[in-house]
Amino acid sequence: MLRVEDLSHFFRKGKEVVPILHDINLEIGQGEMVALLGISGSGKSTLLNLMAGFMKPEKGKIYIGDQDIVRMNENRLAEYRRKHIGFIFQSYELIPNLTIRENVELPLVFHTLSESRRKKKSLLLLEQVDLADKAEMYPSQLSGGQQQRVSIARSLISEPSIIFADEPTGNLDTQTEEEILAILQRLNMEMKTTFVIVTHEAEVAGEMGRIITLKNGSLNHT
Amino acid sequence: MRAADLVKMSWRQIVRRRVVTFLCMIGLSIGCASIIMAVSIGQSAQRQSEEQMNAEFKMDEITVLPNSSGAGGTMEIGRGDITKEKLDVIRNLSHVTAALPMLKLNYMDMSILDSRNVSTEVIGTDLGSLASFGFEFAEGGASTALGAAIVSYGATFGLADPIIRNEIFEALKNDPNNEQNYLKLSQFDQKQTDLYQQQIHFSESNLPDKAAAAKISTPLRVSGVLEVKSGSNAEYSLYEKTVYVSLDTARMLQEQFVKEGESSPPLKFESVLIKVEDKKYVAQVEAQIQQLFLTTQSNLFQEVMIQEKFALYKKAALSIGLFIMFLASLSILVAMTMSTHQRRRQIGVMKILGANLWQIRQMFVTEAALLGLLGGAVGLVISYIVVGGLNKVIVSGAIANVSFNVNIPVFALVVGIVFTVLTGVLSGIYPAVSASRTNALEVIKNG
Repeated sequence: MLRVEDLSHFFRKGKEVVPILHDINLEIGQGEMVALLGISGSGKSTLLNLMAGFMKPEKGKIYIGDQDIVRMNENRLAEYRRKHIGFIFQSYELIPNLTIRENVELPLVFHTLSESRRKKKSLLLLEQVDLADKAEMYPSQLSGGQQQRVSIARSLISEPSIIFADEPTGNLDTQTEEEILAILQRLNMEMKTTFVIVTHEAEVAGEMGRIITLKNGSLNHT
Repeated sequence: MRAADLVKMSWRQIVRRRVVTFLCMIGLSIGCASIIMAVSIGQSAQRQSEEQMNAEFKMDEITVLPNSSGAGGTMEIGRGDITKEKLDVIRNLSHVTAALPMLKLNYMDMSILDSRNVSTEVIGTDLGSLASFGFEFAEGGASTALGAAIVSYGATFGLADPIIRNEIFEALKNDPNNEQNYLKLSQFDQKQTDLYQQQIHFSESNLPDKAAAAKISTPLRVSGVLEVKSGSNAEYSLYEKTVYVSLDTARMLQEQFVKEGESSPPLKFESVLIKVEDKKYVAQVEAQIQQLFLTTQSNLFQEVMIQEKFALYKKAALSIGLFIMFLASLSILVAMTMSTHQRRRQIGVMKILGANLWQIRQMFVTEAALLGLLGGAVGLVISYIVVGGLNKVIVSGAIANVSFNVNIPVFALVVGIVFTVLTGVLSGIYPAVSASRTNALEVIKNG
């Protein structure tokens, strides 16, 4: 499903080169639920952004299926993301002037899907995250946990093969965090969608099927 | 992205940012209204000028004259003369509806049975075509009979006994300050004679030797009397003393007055008046006639002059409208750039969710185009209100020398709307490109 080969990345700070990731090699299979665990500055978010195609690595290859996303230009990457990748943000990133349903539908707007089909799909997903009754409300009318559930529904709407989540429970209280993790686990079971979740919390990582630990830019498989 | 989605998303942004939308629309609507007004006032003023011009000048008529470089003398036909054959060709040209040839004889004294006479111009022409050129009959009409004549309104005035007239002239020579004599002459000029169905004959006037003056034509009969010509007035028409006869009658008169030892001149016309279907064919017909080695005159140049004058006015007014539009475009540019900055987080999210560069640009350009369309719609309403007010002021006579009603042509509305939408789109391009270059990760991380 996802294969990373000899991936290295660094940032330049003036003349100084700051290494972030060294020779990362990993493979994630279809339907796996993987946690990328590491302390702050370990390079886990950078790895996630590279795997999602938001950044280009200095070295190495990233395959999703049989496509090397490193070689894709921006427009191809956009198309690829639209069709194959879902994303869940720590701070939900819902569009405030769109309703909950419209937020969920948003990725499909870029797919040119008809409004009726979009509506049908979004309501189905909102039912799955138990927010169907709030479909016509606006994000500001929902709690943090509810907003994150909307964000999860949005990440699933285009039926991606892989969903990347960057600290999805980072802004939530413990009870809501448990609810969100439960939803992710259920969806992973039901839909066989691959989840790659970045977290710095061992408890959260412990709920995942597999943990990949990052330390100083290098991998520790568990 | 589907067009409906694009419009829906853009519309939401416009509604959400009411104040910015309102500010952008002020400039755009004023610019649009200025353009619509400029085109409408210019068009209305031009239309009024053209109507006036059409009434004053015969725009659908062409005067054909001999080409002076190829004209023959009195007794021979030159390459540039208007001959009967050329007249037939002209008559058969497409879009020519009537032709009025003019075979001018010398000024002659027209006498009636009681021997009163008056000096008139005698013109041989196609009597049946007179009506096509605005000649109206007060009495009678055209006749094809040899010896039929049609007299102008002016020719019915001034008939006097030649002996009495000569006496008055003699008296005036001796005593030029005698008002009574002038009064007597004036009384002759003011007195109208009913010439309809009268028998007339011609004698050459102002001849030096009296023997020649004794030569008179065979009698003719007046078959019609003309009205004052449209576009002229009765007072001026008094001095237009013309008798129209058929071409055959004119030739007959020419032969009767030929000098001894000379033969009658060949048939050629001094001019031909042509009427065409519509003024739009004038230039085309003129060109065809010129190929016959003839000279033409029309009033098209008057129209060109008016069009040039108004084109200049329209350009000036349009420039003002465009300048306002330019200022309005700056407001859109600023507003949209601000909007891009404020919405960069949203743009970042959209990019992460799969929006490509083109789709982000489309969203911003659509928003700017919608702003333009809204501004145009408001400008349209403004221009209707202003034109309504302007027409009321014109009707009240408050504006000197302006008597026309301003109408807004559909063309002006289209021009106004197209310009505002175009202004919107053009000013939206930079913000759109700038928005599409947003670094998604950066803005989501740093806000």
